[in-house]
Amino acid sequence: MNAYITDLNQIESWFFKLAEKQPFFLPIKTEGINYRFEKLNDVRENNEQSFPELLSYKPTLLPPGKNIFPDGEILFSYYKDEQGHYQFTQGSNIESQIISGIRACDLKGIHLMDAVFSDGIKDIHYLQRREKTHIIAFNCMTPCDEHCFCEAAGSLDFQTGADIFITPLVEENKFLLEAQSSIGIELIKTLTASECLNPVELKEQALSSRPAPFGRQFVEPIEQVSKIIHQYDADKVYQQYAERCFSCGTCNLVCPTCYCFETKDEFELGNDLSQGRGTKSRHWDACLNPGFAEVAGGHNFRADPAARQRHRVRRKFDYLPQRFEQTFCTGCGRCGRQCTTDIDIFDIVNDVCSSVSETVAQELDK
Amino acid sequence: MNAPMNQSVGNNPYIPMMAEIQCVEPLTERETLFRVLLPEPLNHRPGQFVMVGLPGIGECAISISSGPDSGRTLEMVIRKAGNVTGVLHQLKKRDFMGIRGPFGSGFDLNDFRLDKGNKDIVIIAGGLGLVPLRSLIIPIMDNKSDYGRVHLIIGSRTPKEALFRQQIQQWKQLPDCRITELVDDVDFQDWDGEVGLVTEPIHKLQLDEKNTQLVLCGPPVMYKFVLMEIKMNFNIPDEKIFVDLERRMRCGLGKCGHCQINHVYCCKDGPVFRYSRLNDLPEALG
Repeated sequence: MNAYITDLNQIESWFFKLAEKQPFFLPIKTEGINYRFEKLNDVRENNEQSFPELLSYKPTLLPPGKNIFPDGEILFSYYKDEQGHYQFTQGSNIESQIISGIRACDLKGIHLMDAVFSDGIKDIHYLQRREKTHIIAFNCMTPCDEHCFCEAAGSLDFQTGADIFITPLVEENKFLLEAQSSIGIELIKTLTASECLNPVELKEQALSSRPAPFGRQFVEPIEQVSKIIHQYDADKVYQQYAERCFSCGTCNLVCPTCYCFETKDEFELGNDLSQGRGTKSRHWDACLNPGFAEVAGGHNFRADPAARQRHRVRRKFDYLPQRFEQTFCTGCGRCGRQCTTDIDIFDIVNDVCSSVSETVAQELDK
Repeated sequence: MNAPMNQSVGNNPYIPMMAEIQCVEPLTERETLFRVLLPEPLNHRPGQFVMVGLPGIGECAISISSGPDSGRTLEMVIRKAGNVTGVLHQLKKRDFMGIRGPFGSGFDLNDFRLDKGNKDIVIIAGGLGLVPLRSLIIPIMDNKSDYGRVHLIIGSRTPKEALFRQQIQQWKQLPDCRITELVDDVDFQDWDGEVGLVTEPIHKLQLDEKNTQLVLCGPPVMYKFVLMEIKMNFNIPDEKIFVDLERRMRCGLGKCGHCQINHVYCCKDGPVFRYSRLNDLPEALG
């Protein structure tokens, strides 16, 4: 049996125990309103606080998956030896980390990134860090805010890939913890908890007590949404949203399944002004930025902002699902929450679906 | 950043091999041919590309211009177009440059052989488009008896931008080889070829339409018009027409996202596509 029942106090003190051994991240309120995944030790030094909103916090600005795919990651370092030959070293040292308080939608985001970076030529930088990242995730009992649409996107009950998965139970301040991996079993040893004999029953009880429908819903079921986005151009809808889009790329940067990157080569000037050593690093990029698909000579293959909007929507609901057979929007709501001009992928998708059913209805009338 | 960790470095796909430059030959004001010696053969296919650069400076996607049997030697034509290519243009013989690859699908020479029933091969190149297609033309010309009639249409903007003219002269001597060289504008220079766009000679081609393989590479604006002209004059099946496309590229591994054309990555599934495949890829000729 790997299921246990405990309360929030025990969970909190267990977190502090785990944080003594390795970097331990959890969502912490910063700057008054927003949450971020912060290192627990830093928090403790600043103010000894508990985490009343640990399992009900408003989703963080950046998804936790970015801890595994950090901006500015060193891909390799080099130096020139005495003979003037280039010598290369692997990249940065990767230490193990625990990320806790991950919502199911973000857990799915990490699961999708695992699929992307293991596909084809393996991305060793991501995979090495992923292997050393241990995850404590939880099940949401209420929609996080008005932007949430995780049920519609099919990620509400996602629990694959978490080492430990927490479900808040119907009985107040009681939590079910399931260890889902050998590392999870190891980590949970230091938790003060009683073994749970009927986890399936308790979990079902908890899940059925949730509001239904859970968060916003698409006008069509998700399988149908993907078909419509794939099949119809819906130029007018994308154009309509593009008109108020600044092409700033915020939606890309906060998305748990956006992983496009730019590379950057840098050298350090030595005492003799030689370029003897340096690095290659990668930095998050955004397909909504105007220059994303521009080539030498100035030709831009996606110069139209509406084409860039469509590209982003299709990547989530059409292109990547074709390759990986899963929807690449997790319904976390971040892009809509952060957009300066309130462009929400949820609205775009619904408008595309409605515009298509209108067109189909008109054709039937004829 | 101490001693290099040789075992683990082997599986980092971002670390380039350092190739020694054997020859630097300026071809035009902006384009230079680099011949480099690699530490090991690339075993590339025609139409594949490499990421070329210098550690600490940057990298860009460059077409391979030498034929597939070139062993450890690799030829590339690099246009001075930005920061990285600007630095590469300063390199001299015996300097080193970083090479990663080969990347992309490229051409399969079996698609062109006479014994597979291919009577005519048409290759249309505009400007720098000749550079990648040279890696296909060389093996065909070197083993000309294995291939049918070859028709080359090569366009440049002006005579001084025309590439590989000497080699083109040698190809002209081979049997069943018709080559049309054009410039958009003679620009007050000597020119013994024709004047006009690459679309103009297309209708004059004499082809066994059902047994023709047609290859196309050039600036983005060219594809639409050339394909229109071909469709108007000939009934070549779409799966026998190949286009070699250009995109922004950063990783070459199908990860960084810049080269995406609808649901495919140009660096993995391309840069060579059969025209029949483009029905599914409306962004391809954008």
